[in-house]
Amino acid sequence: MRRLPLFKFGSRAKSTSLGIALCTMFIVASFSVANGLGSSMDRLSATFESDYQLITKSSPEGIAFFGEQEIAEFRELLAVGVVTNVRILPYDESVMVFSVTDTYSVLPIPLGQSTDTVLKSGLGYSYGAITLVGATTLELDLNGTYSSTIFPSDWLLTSQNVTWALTTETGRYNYAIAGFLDSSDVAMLVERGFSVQSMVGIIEFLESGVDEIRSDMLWVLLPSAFVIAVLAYSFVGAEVSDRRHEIGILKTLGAGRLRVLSYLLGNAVIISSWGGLLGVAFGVVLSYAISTFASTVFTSVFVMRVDEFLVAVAFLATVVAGVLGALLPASKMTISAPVEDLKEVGRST
Amino acid sequence: MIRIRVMIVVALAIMVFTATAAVLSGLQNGAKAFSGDSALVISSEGAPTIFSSQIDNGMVQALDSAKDQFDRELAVSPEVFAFCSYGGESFIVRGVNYSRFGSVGPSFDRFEVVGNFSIYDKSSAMVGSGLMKRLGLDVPFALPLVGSYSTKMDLVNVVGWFETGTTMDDELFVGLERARFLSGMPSSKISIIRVSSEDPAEVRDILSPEDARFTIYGFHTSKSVVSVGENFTVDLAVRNWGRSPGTVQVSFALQTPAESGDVNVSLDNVTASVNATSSIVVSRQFALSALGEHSVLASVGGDFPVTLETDIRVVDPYIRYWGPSRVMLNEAFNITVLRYDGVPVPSATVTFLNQIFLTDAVGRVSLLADSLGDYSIEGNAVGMAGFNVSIEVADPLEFPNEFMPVVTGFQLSSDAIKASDSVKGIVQLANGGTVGGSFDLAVYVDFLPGQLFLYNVSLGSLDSKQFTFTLEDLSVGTHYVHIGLFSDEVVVEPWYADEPGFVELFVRYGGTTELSDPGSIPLYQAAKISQGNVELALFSIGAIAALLAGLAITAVFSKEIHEGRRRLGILKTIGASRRDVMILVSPQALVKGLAGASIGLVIGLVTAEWLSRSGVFMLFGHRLTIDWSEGLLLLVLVAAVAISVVSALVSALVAVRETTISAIRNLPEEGVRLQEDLQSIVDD
Repeated sequence: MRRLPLFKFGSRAKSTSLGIALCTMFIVASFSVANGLGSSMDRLSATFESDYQLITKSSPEGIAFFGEQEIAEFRELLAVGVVTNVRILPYDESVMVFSVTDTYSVLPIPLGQSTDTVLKSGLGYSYGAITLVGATTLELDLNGTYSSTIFPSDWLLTSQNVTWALTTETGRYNYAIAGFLDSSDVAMLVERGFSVQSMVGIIEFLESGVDEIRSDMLWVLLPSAFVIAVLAYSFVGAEVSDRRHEIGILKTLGAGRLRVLSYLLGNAVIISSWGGLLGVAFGVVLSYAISTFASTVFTSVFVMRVDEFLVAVAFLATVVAGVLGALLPASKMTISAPVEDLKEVGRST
Repeated sequence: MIRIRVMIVVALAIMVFTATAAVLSGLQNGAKAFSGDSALVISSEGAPTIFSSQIDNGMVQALDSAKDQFDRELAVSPEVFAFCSYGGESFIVRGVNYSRFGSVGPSFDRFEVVGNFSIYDKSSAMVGSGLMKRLGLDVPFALPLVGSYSTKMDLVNVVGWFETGTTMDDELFVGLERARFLSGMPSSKISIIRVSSEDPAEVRDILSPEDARFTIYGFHTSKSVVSVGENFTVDLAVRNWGRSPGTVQVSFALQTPAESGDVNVSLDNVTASVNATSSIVVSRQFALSALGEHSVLASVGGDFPVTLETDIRVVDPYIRYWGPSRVMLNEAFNITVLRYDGVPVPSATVTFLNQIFLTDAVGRVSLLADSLGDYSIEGNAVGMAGFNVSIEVADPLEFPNEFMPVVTGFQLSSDAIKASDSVKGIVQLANGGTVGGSFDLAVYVDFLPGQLFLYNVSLGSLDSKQFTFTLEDLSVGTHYVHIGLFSDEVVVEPWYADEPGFVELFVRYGGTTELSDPGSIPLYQAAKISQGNVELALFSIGAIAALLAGLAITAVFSKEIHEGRRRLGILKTIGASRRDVMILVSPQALVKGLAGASIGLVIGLVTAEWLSRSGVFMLFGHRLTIDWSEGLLLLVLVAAVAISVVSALVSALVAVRETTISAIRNLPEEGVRLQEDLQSIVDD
């Protein structure tokens, strides 16, 4: 059967296409705003660098101890250590004591304490005998200072043996600092229950912000797709109302339900595709126009970035919404009796 | 004519619009998440975001000192921001002083510390209930943290949790020092100060006034002792801490004590023009005619009048001796002739052992003690009263063969100085033995720890010398300086005589910081986007959402009217005018539209609140919250009604424009449908 010109794509079709184009334009422009915002955040994030990652093992109490065999594959990339909270006497204060073993010179500046004495950095404790009370109690000497930009100045540095004695976790560690781990290394560590943190927090903070923005922008699809569906519903509803008689003739001539449905949905696809293409074009132009206008009006550059993938998503969403909107009146038309359809006298006959 | 399903579409359209508008309003208020409900937020002037803001911690003390000057209760909370991520969740780390935070708010609905832990331990942290849920942790918890902008590692003990009912529940609270370490901020700085006041306008007016506001400080005189008619200069700094340039009159006056009370005489009035948030120095020269103690006053009027004063003594001119009181036989020694104000006097005559000498250009003369005994040294200068002092010429053989340094005299160069000025200590030293050497001269200030100064001084055999040292950075108040058996005192006066805390606040911090309402703190500039851009973008999206809702409603109304065109045609055929059709269609469209809008409005608000609470939308580490203000509710309500009414009326106009012929053309051959239509018209 040859395709019949059921729809004439008259003024109703044009206005519906324009309405759909408006919705698509809104989707494209919104995506561009969100994408531009994400790109700005990306650029900002790229200005910070971190070559180091902090690796800890999670447990219900926080960081947990792990054995060397659990990180054996990455050992040459890691500086490992123990940090624990103890009480210091005679000051009777809570203080963090840490040790670090940097066998492979991972840290930017060598740091470590080989003897069983204690070093301070910014704390005001006097040199001399101190007592550290952890899982065990140790009498030690505070006899020097250390300097580090990585560790807080109110931590005390001591040897691995001392921290193992204080924690009774001999031969185990509770943190590691990695010089460089690629994504597969990170994935493997995470799989083993480790937490891997970039040691410059703003990077992950901004990256997660970008992810939030990019996932949030998908919500823009909802209102637009709803309106597209309503427009398609109204358009196909009005068309089948006008042309019920012709559709009845088609059915009488042998057109099956699928054929009728495909006629109607095919026209919904044409209308929404046309509207979608128009909307994409408008959206791209609008995005660049706003971007240029905003950059001249405001001191800061507000970039709206059009992304090919997002344009494709916008177009597809438009077509899908159009088809879904048309589905109800089209389905209704397929199930009506041809005799009833023929009784209707449409506008076009 | 218009069926019930239209109402459903209208409700859906308005629901989508309402939820969108509410979420957009939440985005616009994202900044409020950082400031809570405090009245004002102080950040550094020109900082693109509060994260890069750094203000002097001293402003907190200055605000504390000035608190009494504010009419209403004022509370301030210094805070430092850092960022962190753990387990894939990013969050804000806020450095706080818990007691100050509590005084500003928001108040803690819950504040649970587990076991015997203390929140004041250096490594203690408190987690907000929202963040605790996101991270899925139970307290206590050892949480590893990292630096914000540079490679750092830290570990905090999360010893408890809190709930404020605000977005701060999505944060981790630590001590100020901890947050400074993580953010790499200097110890003297903080990110912001949140201020709560019952009268924010007053605080804003005082700290960041739009008009020019003036104060004076740094009042110096070139001399503290002058003779009659001698010129002296006064310098005074005038600061405008307002955001507009302006002029102010500075008045100088002389205050002289009298039996009947102080007598004030005007010296001069100066009009000073000062640019916004800047200072100028005003200098004037005066000469006094009456002997005695006087005060020079400088004052400005206005809302915050300030008067400063400095003492000046008018004397008859005289000269004085500066030199040793004991010398050794055959020792050549120097003496200096000084004027009453400490200036060396050249060409003065000095008489010693019946010999007359003239002082050189720096007021000095070299003498030789060639006879044992006590002698006098007499000095004279033209126009000034002279001096006559005694000096002992001793035999060195009478002194022990060892190093015996002793302090024979000590005085400070001034009895009173201004804060940040220095004072000189002049010590007269002598070696009572015939062996030379060096020793540590101990200078105690108030006998306080950390206020002991040691100076290494060398002395020759039976030598005597004058040693001078400088004391700086003395705090405001009276200080006692002790050296050996001698002591002297100096009074350090604040620059600001009246309401010093208040004036210091203006001078040091007035106009140097940015005051923002909680909802308008700089935030989005993190992405190099100005607040104006964001507001414009959000408004545009809201407007387009409204347009789309209107489009959907118009489309569905049009479809309904299109399907009812046959009935409209019949009506017109039997004589109904356009007005009649309008009257028939409009009420139906309006009633169904408004009913649908009401339902959509309620569902939309509920949806928006659900989206907010579910944490679907996150903004800079905080879940998006919608500020259900009266303004927002009114805006959404008016917009929803307007969308549905306009859409309904547009549809009604379309119906009216439908021509009679096109409407009734091709009526069904059987009259069944026509009868139905007629019946429905009757029903309508």
